[in-house]
Amino acid sequence: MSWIDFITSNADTLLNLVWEHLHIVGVSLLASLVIGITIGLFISRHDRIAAVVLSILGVIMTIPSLAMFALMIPFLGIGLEPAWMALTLYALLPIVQNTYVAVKNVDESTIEAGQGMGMTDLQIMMRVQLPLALPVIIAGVRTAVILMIGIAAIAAYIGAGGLGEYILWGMYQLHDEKIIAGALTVSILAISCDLLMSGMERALVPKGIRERR
Amino acid sequence: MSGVDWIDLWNYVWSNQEELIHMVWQHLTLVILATGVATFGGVSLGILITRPSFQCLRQPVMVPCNVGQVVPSLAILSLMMPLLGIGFRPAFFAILIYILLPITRNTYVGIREVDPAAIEAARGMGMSGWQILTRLELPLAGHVILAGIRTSMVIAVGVATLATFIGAGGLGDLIDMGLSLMNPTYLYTGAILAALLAIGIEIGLSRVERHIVPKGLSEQNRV
Amino acid sequence: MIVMENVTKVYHGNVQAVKAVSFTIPDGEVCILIGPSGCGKTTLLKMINRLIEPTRGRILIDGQDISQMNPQELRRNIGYAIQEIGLFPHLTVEGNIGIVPSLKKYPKSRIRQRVEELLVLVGLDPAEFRDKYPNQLSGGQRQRVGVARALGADPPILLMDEPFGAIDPITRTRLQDEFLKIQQKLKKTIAFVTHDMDEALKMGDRIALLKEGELVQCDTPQELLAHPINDFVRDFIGADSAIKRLALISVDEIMETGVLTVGLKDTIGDLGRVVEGASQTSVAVVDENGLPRGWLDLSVDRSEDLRIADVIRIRDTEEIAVNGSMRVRDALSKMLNTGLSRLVVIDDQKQLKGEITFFTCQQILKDSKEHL
Repeated sequence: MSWIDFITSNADTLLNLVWEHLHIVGVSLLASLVIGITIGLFISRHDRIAAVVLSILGVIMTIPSLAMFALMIPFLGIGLEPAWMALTLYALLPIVQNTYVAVKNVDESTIEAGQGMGMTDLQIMMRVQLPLALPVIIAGVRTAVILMIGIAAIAAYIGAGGLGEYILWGMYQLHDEKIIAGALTVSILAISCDLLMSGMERALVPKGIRERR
Repeated sequence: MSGVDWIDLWNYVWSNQEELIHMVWQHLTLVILATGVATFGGVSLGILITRPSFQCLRQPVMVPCNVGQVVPSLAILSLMMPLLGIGFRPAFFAILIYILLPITRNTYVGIREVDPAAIEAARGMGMSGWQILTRLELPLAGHVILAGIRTSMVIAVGVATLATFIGAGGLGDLIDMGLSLMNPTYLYTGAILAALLAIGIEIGLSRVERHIVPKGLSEQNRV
Repeated sequence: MIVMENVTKVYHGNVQAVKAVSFTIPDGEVCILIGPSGCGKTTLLKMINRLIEPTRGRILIDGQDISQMNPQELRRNIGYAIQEIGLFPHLTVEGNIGIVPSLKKYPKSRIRQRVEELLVLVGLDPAEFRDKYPNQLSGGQRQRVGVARALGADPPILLMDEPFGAIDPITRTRLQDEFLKIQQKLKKTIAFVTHDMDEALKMGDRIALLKEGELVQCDTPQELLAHPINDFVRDFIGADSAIKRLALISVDEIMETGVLTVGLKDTIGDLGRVVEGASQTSVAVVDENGLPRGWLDLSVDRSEDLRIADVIRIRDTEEIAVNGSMRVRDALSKMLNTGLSRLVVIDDQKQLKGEITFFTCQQILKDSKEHL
């Protein structure tokens, strides 16, 4: 098939685009992790704010990605910055939500036991709540990463580069091989990241609470 | 590109109402048709794989469902081009395929979460398979299924904006025009309308959803 | 009448869950299916309403082979209650109890009336509970609704799979007692699965003990305790079979009647009249409402003219009395707990009707030992 030849002969370019893609996602992931986990931990102690924050993030999540990019152009122009910004915003909901839910779901009696042993609030958070919440937070990160890989592909449209470039060029030039190469590579990228993260999720579940089957 | 001139934008919207309505309509047609077909297909498929006699179909359906949710929407949309060319048809099928998965999944999950003891009791009382489905499983899974439809519709609005890339029209056209002409008015009109459409569907359908949660399942009801 | 003829169930070609079981459940009787887990008791039960089909053998209900009947029609005429209850969470109590009547297309007004009757029967106030949802009920209340639902269309047969298994012991005892009362009224033909021998002895007219799919012994509780056919049965009953026997006998059956009484307000001088010519060494003392409040030892010095209330220890009726319908075992444990060597027996109006002594209980234990 011609598209296989196309991929093999353009492997270098594709690999470069993969790196570019991962770069866009990586930077936004870092930003959203720092912001998201902080917000998540904060709202787990303030229920009223939690409802408001979560519904705002929920609304952001529903905005079509192309519209989101368009809304940023007048402020941030085109290129990497609006892409980072948009990706970070989208990633916040899964990360904040899962952090919030995970910390909230840690058994009250476990926390009480910690208090009873004389742990400080910070110690309880770092030694009890976070380790127990980690698998759920990672699950949120996984959702966020998959989402970002998909949206980063669209970010090529505002000049952020990445695998979306190949797909969009292919569509403009009616170049089927280019489309297939770009679409397949980005799909494989997403699927392998998903598998990797789900492996991580499983490995991070504390041994004591792994489901025995 | 210069900032947004809101007066300009208002004038543009005011004087081009008909055209904009046409674009929104084009967008909605794509979303509604795809969601309609996907709902019919997804719910049927979801019901089918929860029937004990079709258990063997569970894996072959659920595995692609789970993998499919990971694949980027732009990838699916673009792959329709070599297959179906440009225009409404490839856009419709891309959205359909993309949202069939969450609807099937939610139907499956919603029905599977019905208490097996209630189903056994139903069988023991002499309810037929059809009666168990319509009187027990669907009423209990209804809000989960609708949640799947809501998510799907919101996704569909998003993918339909991308449909401009394969010439299927809709609000994406306006955004595309705005970017290529460096015109913030077009850009913002398209973006805001698309965002409002998605948010409106999200809010509207979650209202309906809350309404159809069976009373006996709502938490506030508990003593 | 339910007749099992060589009923066999084979899974996956070779695992025999039930092996050629034959027995009969006569009309109006409670038949307990009991045995260790994996003995096939639940499989056997589910074959009666065809949730499981037997591999060989047949089951007849009132002479009709059930394999020839429409399974849904069959099930609508057999009540079914399970441990997990399985109430429909989206329906109210009324909706749940009315399911089978509505499947049978009863008119609405009749369903409503039926729901009311059944709620009263299982001890729930219709006005309060009719419109509640299952998640608003306690475990015991849910189980009551489950039983009411099984009785929905007044089926002549009931199948119950550990219906009181998941409930706390106190509520369980109460539900068992209430269920026995209901059964006395309704006289349903009941197959009842349990793994608890005490429950079996209490609830069963007949007990079918199963082991690895085979029927080991099917007898009345008395026979089973008195004549276990092998070591398995003896082990399953447990070492305390003599005490278990006491659970089969009601206080009414062994109490001594003709107890002499005096009033609290009487005086010692009045005693002469009451005990004249009697051989007792003590008399029961009742208050002005007829409630027993203690005993008076007849060796009391009768020369002084004291009021009886002043010479005896006055106790609460609850403390010294048992209801005649109570099991002898429970009466015995009350004696052991209170340190009394006898208790007065009262009726539902708390009026004295007899007396039960530690000595009588001992005699029964001795008799049953000689049986074994």
